[in-house]
Amino acid sequence: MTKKITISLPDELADEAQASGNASAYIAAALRERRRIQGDLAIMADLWGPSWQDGISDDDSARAARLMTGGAKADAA
Amino acid sequence: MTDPVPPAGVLSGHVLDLDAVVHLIEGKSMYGRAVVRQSSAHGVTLLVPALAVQVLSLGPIQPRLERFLRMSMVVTGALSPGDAVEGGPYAQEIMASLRRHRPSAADALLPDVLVAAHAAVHATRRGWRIITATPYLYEGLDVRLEILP
Repeated sequence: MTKKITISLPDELADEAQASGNASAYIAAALRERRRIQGDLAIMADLWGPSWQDGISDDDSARAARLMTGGAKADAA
Repeated sequence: MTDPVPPAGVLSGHVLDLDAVVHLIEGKSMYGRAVVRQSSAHGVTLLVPALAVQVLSLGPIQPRLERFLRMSMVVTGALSPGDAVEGGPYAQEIMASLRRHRPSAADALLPDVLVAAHAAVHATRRGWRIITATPYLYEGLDVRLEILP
């Protein structure tokens, strides 16, 4: 089922949604992605406690981000 | 057995070995937590070898393992008959490395050896890195590693 709603978006986001060719599907996908990540973050908080992100340094975050984008240096065995 | 993980090139990811799974579930290092967070944010797969799931299901970490496996980017990598055969030479190499580095513990760490061999099969097939806290296991193997602190 679908429900028709009217929403307002900043110009650049509205342009992006319209350029996709199906603004409704585009926004639905974005909301599902947000829900997916929020679900994962809830599990992380469950595993590691509510303050689990407090000690993550910028260096840790940057190194992990490089790993995800394929930019990490290989530590070959 | 059906492998739920798409073949190499379809998506990106990393393979976890036994120590890495425990490390990440327990949040032992901030870097490990950052890896899990970024994997979710980027939609990058973290593949847990099925053997690791079996081994950890025997211990007290099992309830937390179940929660870890429910994250959207964490998948279990099946062990097919072909994988078992392919993993044999890896297991031999890894056991030899273990005997060099921890001779007195080698036999007790057989589960680590088997999971590492299974991880090497998945990583080699997909061109993915193995995330590990025990890099010496992979000495001499042509695999790329990401080492946890």
